[in-house]
Amino acid sequence: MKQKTHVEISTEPLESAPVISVGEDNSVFSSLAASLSEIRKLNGVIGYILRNNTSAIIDLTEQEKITEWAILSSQIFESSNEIANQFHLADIESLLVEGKYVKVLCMSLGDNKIGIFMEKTATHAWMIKRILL
Amino acid sequence: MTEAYSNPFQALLNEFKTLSPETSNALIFKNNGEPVANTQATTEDQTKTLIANFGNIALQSQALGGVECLTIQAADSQLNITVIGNLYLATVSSRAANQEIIKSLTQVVVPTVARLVDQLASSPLKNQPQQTLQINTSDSEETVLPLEEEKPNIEPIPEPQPPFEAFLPKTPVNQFMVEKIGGLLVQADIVRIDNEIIAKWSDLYDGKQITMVNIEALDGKKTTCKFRAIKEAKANAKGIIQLPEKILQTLQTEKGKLVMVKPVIE
Repeated sequence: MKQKTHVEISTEPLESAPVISVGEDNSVFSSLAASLSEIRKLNGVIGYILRNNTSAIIDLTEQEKITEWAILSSQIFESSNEIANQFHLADIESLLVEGKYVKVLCMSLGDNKIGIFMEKTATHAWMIKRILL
Repeated sequence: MTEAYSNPFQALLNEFKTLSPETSNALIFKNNGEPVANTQATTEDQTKTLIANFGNIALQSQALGGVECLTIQAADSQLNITVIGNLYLATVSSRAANQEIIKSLTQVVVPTVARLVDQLASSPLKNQPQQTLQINTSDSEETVLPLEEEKPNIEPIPEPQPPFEAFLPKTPVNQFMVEKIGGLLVQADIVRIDNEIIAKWSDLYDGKQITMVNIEALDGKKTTCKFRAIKEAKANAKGIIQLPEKILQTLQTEKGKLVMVKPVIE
């Protein structure tokens, strides 16, 4: 069953903490959310996670895997970043991890991080283009 | 790991520079994290970072069925890690590089060499020089047995199986949330695991009987113990491991914490 959760995280920053401006970021977030909801309708797409510092949208078919896939996409961003730094790969466009059955495409646009989960047979190349539009 | 094993890979990677000049780095490592060969341009730090971070991704990738390929695409260059049997090949190349050549190298040449090296490694007798049979030709009157009877009885060496079929699948590591189990009938050294995961392990290892699991807490404390399926067929048993008090103490963990569990394959 399809599970769609839109989590709005509001934080009460400490007086000494820097205040995060969300005005412009939210428009990018909304635009990405619209692109992802289009991508979500494609055959073979299992779901996606879109998050930034203040908001998150999780749309995954398998509810019980939400935690597992959230941890995985987070790990992909973190570890790939370290590898990329070590090999001097500048301006990361996309990260793709293919498993035996499923693959995940991760992209980072500013503070917005995307993880799209899909069957191995799904075509991911144009999704990158669509998101970068 | 012997030089005889790593040398063919090293020789092959050395040729990458000629065959695909746009490939700046190449590295081969085993699925246990042991480096096998790398191009000169690849530093020790790069090797360590790549293997450690790839390992971290692989550890979390059970939901995908393990990692078969990782691609990091940057503006001008890309890094690719692909699985080849029990090895991984990592390459860093320009995006302007001829992709056909890179594909030929990574998907045909290296896997072929890996297959050959594995075949040679699994049939060492074939590599040994043939023993020469010396016949005593003294003039003594000793009875000399016919040559045929002196031939050692050499059993034919069976053809090695293709190495990729011989490997057991990579041991899956599953992440579970801890629940405490107690009561008079609960055995202190047996944990209970989500039945679905046990069925997956059984499928993965073709019905091979698995009786023990390794459990690792997030702070690195480990233990090995027997396991059984969670009795209740409730929906919220998914991703749950029930631990008795004794094992909770050994792992220094508690209800609600995460642990990594993998089956012990003998």
